[in-house]
Amino acid sequence: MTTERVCLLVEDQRPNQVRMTDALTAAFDNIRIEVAGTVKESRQWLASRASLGFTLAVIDLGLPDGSGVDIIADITGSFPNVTTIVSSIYDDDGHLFEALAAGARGYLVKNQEPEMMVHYLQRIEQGEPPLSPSIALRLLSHFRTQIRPPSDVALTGRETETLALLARGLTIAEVARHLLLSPPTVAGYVKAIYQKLNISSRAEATLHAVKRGLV
Amino acid sequence: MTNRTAYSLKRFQGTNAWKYWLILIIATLAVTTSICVALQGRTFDGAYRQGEQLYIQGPDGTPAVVLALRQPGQTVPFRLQSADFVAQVDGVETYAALDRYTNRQGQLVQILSGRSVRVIFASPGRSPSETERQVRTLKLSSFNYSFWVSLFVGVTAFLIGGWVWALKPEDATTRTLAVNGFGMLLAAVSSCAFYAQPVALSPVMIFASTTLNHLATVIFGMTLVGLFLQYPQRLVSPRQFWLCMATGAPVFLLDLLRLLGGPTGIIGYCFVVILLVIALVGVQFYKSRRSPGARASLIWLGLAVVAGGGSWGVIVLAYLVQGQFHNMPESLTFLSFLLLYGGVALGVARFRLFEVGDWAFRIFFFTVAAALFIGLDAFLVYLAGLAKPSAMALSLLLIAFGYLPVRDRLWRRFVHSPRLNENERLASALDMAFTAQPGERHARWRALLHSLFTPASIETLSSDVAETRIEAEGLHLCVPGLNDMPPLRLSYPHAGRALFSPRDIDLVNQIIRLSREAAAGLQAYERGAAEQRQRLAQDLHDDVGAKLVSGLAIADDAVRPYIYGALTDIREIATALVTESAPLDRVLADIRHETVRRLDVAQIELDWPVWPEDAPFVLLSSLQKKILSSAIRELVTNIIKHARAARVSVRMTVGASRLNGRIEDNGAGFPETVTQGIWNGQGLKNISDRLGQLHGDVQLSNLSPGTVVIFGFPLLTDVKNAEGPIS
Repeated sequence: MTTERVCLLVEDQRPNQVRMTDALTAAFDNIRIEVAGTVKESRQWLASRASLGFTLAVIDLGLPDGSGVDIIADITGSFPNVTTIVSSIYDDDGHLFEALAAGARGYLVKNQEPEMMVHYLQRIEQGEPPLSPSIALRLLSHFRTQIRPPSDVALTGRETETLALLARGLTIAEVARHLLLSPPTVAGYVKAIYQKLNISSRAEATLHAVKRGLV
Repeated sequence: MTNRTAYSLKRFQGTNAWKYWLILIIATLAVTTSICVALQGRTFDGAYRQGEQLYIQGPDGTPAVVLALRQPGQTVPFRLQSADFVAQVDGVETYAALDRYTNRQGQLVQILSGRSVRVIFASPGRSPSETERQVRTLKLSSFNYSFWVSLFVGVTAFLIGGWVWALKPEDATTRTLAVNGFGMLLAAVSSCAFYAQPVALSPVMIFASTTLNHLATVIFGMTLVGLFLQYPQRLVSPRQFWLCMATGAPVFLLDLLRLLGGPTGIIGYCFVVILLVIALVGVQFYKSRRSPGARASLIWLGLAVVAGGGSWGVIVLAYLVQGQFHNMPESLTFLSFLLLYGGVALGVARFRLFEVGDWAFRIFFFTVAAALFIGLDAFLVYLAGLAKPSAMALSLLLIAFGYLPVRDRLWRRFVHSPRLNENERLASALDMAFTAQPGERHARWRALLHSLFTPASIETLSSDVAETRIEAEGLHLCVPGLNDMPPLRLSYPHAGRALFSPRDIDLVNQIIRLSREAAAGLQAYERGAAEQRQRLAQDLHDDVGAKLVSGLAIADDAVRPYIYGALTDIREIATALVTESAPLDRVLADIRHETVRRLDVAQIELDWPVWPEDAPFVLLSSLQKKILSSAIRELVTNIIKHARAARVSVRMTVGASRLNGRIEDNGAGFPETVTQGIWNGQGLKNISDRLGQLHGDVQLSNLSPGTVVIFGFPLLTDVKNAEGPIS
C-alpha cells in the first residue's frame, strides 16, 4: 500500500473546488485533499500539525483576502519538497509569471475537460511540468536581461535551447527528440529552469529591497 | 549665424587679431590712396565728361560741347577729340593709338597747368564762342560713379578674402583666396585715377596706373586659376602649383614689353583665365563625384564662376560686337567679378549662412536672364536695326514670356525638392507614430526624413544624440532617437547639392515633438482601451464563466461537452480581448502547444513541423488570431471525437499574402454529406463562417483512408509590409 499523499487545494469557488477535487482524485490513488478558501485559512493550515508530510499544493491566485502568490512563496520557503501548482484560468505569461517566480513548479488551466486536467496533473507529478510557449518566451527574456548573474542562476546552453524550443510550441518529449536527449533529462532542465527563476527572483527582490532601504 | 558671429568675435580677440588688423589697415590704406590719387586729377570749373565728350555749362544754362582748350597767351588752341575721353584705356586697340592718347593727355595736362584755361565751346545751334575758366583739381563729389563702384568691389573682395583667410589661416586655399582678393583691391586702386574721370591725366600717372592694373589683373587671374587647382580637391602638387602661378610673370612681362599684340591683350588673358577656370570646375566636378560634401560647395563655386565670369564675358563681348569696347564702363565688369568672388568665398568657407544651394541656383537663373536680356537687346539693336527703346521693351517681353516660365520649371526640377507642407508633415508624423510594427515605423521615419531632406545617406548611430544638431558645417544632421527608434545621422542633404541649415533643425524638432505628442496620446488611448478590455474580459470570465461552471454540476453527459466548449471559447475571447495583435510564429506556437497536448491525451500521433525561424514576420490581428486558433481547435476536436484516427499531420505555410493550412488524418473520413457541402455539425459550419469573415475559405475532402482539410485566409497588408525592405 502506497503512503497517503496529502494535497492542499486553495480555491474559493465552490464548483471549482468540486471539479478540482474530482480531477485530483482521478489522477492520484490514495490522496487526501485539504481545501482552503482564503489566504488566512491556508496559512492556518500550513502552521498546523496537519500539514506535516504534505507533498502537493494546487493554488488559485485570485482569493478573497489576497493573492495566492503569497501562499506559494510561503510554501516554497517552508516546504521546499512540496510541488506547488498554480491553477489559473489563463496560461499566458502575464498571469502566471509572478507565481512561477514565487516558486510554483507548474500550472493548471482551470475549466478544461476533466481528462486534460488529469493528464496535466499526472505529468507534473512525473516530473514533466508544463511550460506554454508564452511563458517560455517570458523566461527567455527574463534570463537574457539579467545583468551579470551568479553562475547558479544563469541558464546553461542546454537549458536555453530547451526554452527556445518550448517557446516554438514543442513538448518536452519533442524537445528531447530534437536535442537527442531523453525526456527525463529535458524535464530535469525544465525543473532547473523553474528553480533558477525562483532563486533569481528572490535575489532580485532582495536587491530591490536593499535599494529601497527596506533591508 | 549668431554662432558664427560669436565664433569670429572670439577669433577676433584671439591670436588671429593681428590678421584682422592687418586686413583693416590695408583696406583703409587702399581707400585713402585711391581718393588721394583721384583728387590729383585736373579739371576746370563747370567741366564734366559724358560719353566721349567734354561739356561745360553754357552761358544760357544749356550744356555746351567743349571743342578746344588753350592756355591764356597760347595762340593755337588744342582741339579735343573723342579719343581723349575713352572710358577704357585697355580698350584702345593699338599701341600707336595708346601712345597718341598718352601724348595728347600730356599736352592737356600741360594746358591745364596754369591757374586758368581758355575754353572754346559750342552751344547747340550757335557758333563757337570762348570763355575763361578756373583750373583746379577734382572734388570728391565730382568723381564719376565708376570710381565708387570699383572701389567698393575691390575693398569688399579684399575684406571677404581676408576674413576667410583669418578664419582658416592654416588652409592653403584661403591663402590663395586672400591673395586673390588683394589682386582685386590692387586693380581697383590702380583704376581709380581713370574712374574719377578728370579732364586729363599725366602720362606718368597713366603708365603707372595701367602697369599696376595689369599686374593686379595677372595676380587675380593666376590666383583664381590656382584656387580651382586646389579646391575642393588638390589637382596638382605644391611644386606644380607654384609653377602655374609663376606663368603669370611672363604674361605680365610680355604685356609690359608690348608683346601681347595690343593693349587689349590683357583682356584676352582674362578670357583665357575664365575659360581655364570653367574647365577646372568641370574637372573638379568630375573628381568630386564620390564626395558629396566637396560637390555641395563646388556646385556653388561653379555657379558663381559661370554667373560672374559668364556675365563679364557677355558684357565684354557685347561691347566688342558693337565696336564700342573702349567705351565700356569697366566698373560694371567689376560687379560681375564681385558676384564670382562672393560665391567663391562662400564656397571656400562653407558657411551655413543660408541655404546655399537655393541661392546658387537663384543667382544662376537671374544671371541667365540678365545675359539673355543684354544679348537680345544687343541683337535687336545692332543686327535687326530696331530703335533702342522698342528693342529694350521687346527683349523684356520675350524674356518675361519665354524665359521666365522655363526658369520656373528648371527651378522646380533642380532646386525645389518636393517639400511637404504643414498638413502633409503632420499627417506623416501621425502616420509614423501610429504604425504598430516597430520595423515599419522605423522605415516610415526614415522615409519621412528622406522626403524632407533627400540625404545621400542615413545611418543609425550607436551613441545617443541629446538634441538635433548639425555636424561638419552642414554636411551631417544628427537626429535624436524617437520613441523606440535609434538616433540617426543624415548626410549630404538634397543629394549633396546643399548643406543642412539651422532651419532644418527647427523642422526636425517640430516633427519629433509632433510624433512624441502623437505617441503619448496613442499610448494614453491604448492604456484606456486596454483597461476597458481587461475589465470586459474579467466580467465575461467571472460572471458568464462562473454561471457555466455552476451549470457543469447539474448538466448531463450530453450537455457537458458544450459547456466545456463554451468555457474554452470564453477563455479564448477573454485572451483575445486582453492581448492585441500577435506575431504569427507565437500564435502558431501556442496552437501547436495546445494541439499536441490534446492529441497526447487522446493518444493520437501528431506530425506538425515546428514553424521555421526564418519565415517572414507576420503580425496577426486579434481577430485573425482568434479565428485561426478556434478553426484548428475545432478541426482537432472533430478528429478526436469522430475520426478514430491514429495519426494527424498539420502543415502551415505563409505565401505571398496568404496563410494556408492543411490538416490531414488517417481516420474514418467524413460522411458523404459533409464532402457534398451539407455540414450538419455546428463545428464545421462555424469554421467556414469565421474564415469567411477573414475572406478566407475551407475545403473538406476524403482520402483513403482519412480526411484532408485545406483552409486559408489572406493576410492583407501585413505580409507585404513585413517582406518589404525594412532597414
